[in-house]
Amino acid sequence: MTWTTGWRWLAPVIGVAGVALAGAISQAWAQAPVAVVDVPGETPDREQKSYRDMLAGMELFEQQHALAPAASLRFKVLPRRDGVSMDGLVVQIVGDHTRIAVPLAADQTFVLPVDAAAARDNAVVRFNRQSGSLAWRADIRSAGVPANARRLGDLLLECKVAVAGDLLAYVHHPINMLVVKLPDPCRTLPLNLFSFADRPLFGATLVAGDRRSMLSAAMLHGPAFVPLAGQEDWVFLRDRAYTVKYKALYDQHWPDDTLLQFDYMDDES
Amino acid sequence: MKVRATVRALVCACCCAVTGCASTGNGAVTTLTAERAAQTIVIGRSTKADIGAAFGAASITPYAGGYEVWLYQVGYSKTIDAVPYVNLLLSSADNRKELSILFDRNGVVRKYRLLDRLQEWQP
Repeated sequence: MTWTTGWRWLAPVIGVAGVALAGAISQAWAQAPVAVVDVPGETPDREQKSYRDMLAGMELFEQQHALAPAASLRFKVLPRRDGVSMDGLVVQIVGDHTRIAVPLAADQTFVLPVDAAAARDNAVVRFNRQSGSLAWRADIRSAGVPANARRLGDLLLECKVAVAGDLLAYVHHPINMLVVKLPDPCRTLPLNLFSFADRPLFGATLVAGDRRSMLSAAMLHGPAFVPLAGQEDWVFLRDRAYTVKYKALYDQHWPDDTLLQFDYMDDES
Repeated sequence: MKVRATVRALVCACCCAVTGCASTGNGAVTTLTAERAAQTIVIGRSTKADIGAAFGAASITPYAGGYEVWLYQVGYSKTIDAVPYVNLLLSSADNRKELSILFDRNGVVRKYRLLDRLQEWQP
């Protein structure tokens, strides 16, 4: 977005209007009556995602595998709030006529099997935790990437799969709900979609050959305040959270093989 | 014409206070070079008081383990990144310069990063 000098002063005005608008929408949203529907056989307070939606994410992965040709697709869950135990996690595909155990690795990643009958059964992928306990992400890692780095093409594909598979928890105001329905928001919009490093982050640097660029502080740890934090899934792990503006980076011709190298807080200088 | 300009300046000032488009610190980061930063910020020795004296008040975020990050931004502050819809148009990520300093639990500098977009190689 470019602004002419004559109109740039309007930016903060729009800022104030945005704050007011966001507040009004949030208030209206909070006051709106919530429809509660009881569905026989459902367990509404369990942490779960639609199996069909996750299959859609897997399908997109196959279609755009060229972004990460040396990687396979796994899904991953992380704690979303304080006190959530990651010990003893069990994940299953569950429906009226479906019950399929899914092996969960020690790093809380799993591969989702394809099962047409489960899709027809409108099954869900369910964890033995309360709803709102876990953050779900795609986990796509090309072989040969150093442990302290992630590959740009892998991260972009993770973003696309997460959106297609409806893995993310976010504030469901109208704009967000519209954005995730757009054809390719990860690549075409400056989304704030958070990924997680393995440990608390101090900084991150893009590296492609001789070319290097630090990620600005805006890309780390989320924004300064989070109005409806309970509806987001990254806030609890904010010290490990980072976001990547794929559109801007690809417009600047950073290649898929670009590495995002992490500088962890507990690393030596 | 003067009145119009004054009103515009006042509106901008008020809005900046709300949305966080003001730089942080005393302005020293604006002209800070890597060499000067290395002289001023001594890893393992500089304290919060030293850094505050050199660069002014920072935007401070505490983290687990007693870590604290002090952030100085030239341009927009991170506050603007939290404003829905506006953050689709404006972002502190567009800033050309910023200084992040990590303090350990004893309040001593553990590491720092000086971002200077003008010094980065571009194709």
